Amino acid sequence: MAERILIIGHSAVTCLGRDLDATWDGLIAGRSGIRRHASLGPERFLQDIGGIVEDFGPGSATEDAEISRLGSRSIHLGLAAARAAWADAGFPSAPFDPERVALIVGSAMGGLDLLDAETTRASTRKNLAVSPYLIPGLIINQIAGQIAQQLGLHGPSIAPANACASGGHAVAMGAMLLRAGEAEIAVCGAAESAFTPSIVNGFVTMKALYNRKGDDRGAADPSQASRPFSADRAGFVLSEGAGMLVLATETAVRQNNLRPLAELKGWAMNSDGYHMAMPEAKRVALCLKSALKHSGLPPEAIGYYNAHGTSTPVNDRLETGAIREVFGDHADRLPVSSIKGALGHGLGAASAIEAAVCVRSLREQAIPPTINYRPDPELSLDFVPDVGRDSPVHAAMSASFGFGGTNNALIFTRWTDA
Amino acid sequence: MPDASLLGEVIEVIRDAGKVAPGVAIKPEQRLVDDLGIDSLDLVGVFLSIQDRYDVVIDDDDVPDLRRVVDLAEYVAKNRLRAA
Repeated sequence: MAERILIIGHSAVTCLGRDLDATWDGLIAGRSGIRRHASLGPERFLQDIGGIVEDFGPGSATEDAEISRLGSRSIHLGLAAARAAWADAGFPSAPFDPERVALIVGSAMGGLDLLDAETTRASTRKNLAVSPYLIPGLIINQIAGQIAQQLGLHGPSIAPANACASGGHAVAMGAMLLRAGEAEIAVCGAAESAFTPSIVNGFVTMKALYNRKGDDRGAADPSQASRPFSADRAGFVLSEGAGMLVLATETAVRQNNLRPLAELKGWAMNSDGYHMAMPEAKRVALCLKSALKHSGLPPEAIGYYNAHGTSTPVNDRLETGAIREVFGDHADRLPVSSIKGALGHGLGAASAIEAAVCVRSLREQAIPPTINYRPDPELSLDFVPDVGRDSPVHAAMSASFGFGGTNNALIFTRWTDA
Repeated sequence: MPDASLLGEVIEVIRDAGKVAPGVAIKPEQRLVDDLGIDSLDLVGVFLSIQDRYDVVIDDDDVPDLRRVVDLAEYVAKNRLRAA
């Protein structure tokens, strides 16, 4: 029988709060972390609305001194989330073998913020010198590298770069490594901070990013800019953050008396093989079905579907159709929400944050809402509008879909000691 | 010997970019690597910070001669003057 994979630690750093408690409280209360930011001024950026973790990171009063040389915010976000998840798992007090702890930590963009800042600095130099910390801070696997260095972990290290599905892939790959016996504990997640002109303006140019002006409700009140599944949804709002889970085999949990929070019951990954940026409905639905099959659960067992729900017209329509296809009649009874209404879209980090929130949802027996919701007659699901809901949830599914046609779905189940 | 003001500035750049602990006194005759323990990457960071701050160029050929704190301060004094 295959090893059961248990969640023993979870964390998030988001624009709603620097830890999962604050993030969860904000989500349940229906608050938004999205606002206008002076750092995204019009001289360089086409959009100044976003979700930024304030008073955090390189140069701030709360800077992590251990990594002060590495100016990429994604590394700081990832390490902060990893430290929190590691502590949530009871480490380093609880026993562990550092050689048997894997690190699967991804990002869509890595240290592009550092590249932008260093390119600006270098442009005024009289020679072609570049900071010696640019390359170490730019590489995507440095997030896992610094978590390993700072927490003293020495198992296998992988950095999935699967666009907006990076975090979900990290969790699935961590579970696969544990099942394969390559490690007994895995720190899995993703971190992202991509507020550079090239990225923000690139998403605007693609018409993927929210960029309404005038009397649009999001322009007047930035907290209403991200509105997944709403009739007037108008693109995603960029945000930064990190999410992290600590996975462990059931054997390691029993042997080391660790505390399970939930079980990772099933997962799936597939590729559209269809388009550079547009998802394909058929493969998205197949990914959800594959995760269900892998979990051994019937569709009716899912009590919460945490949507990719980006607030783009295309994604939300396509995902709603996939949910209807996969869940059939149960879709009418299935609570579906997108926390991107409150948090914006943290690209690679989003699915890791959403995985942590699903675990918290199972723990709290509550479902975070889709805020800013205005019904779209074409999308008729229970989107848990605006306010959190107490609800019995035995199993939660989280889905994520990334540019390049990369899809992921995770299924978590409630852990009870009985 | 460069003036005390410039020397003080250079020492602060070395402390900041070289990641020298606040409690460690930095003296002009000290060697950047052997005495202050600045590693190879941080040493490049020190040179780059000096370049950015004083708008000078540190040639690779000159680096072997910049072993002590005072060497760096004298280099800045000499080349900044030339640039001006």
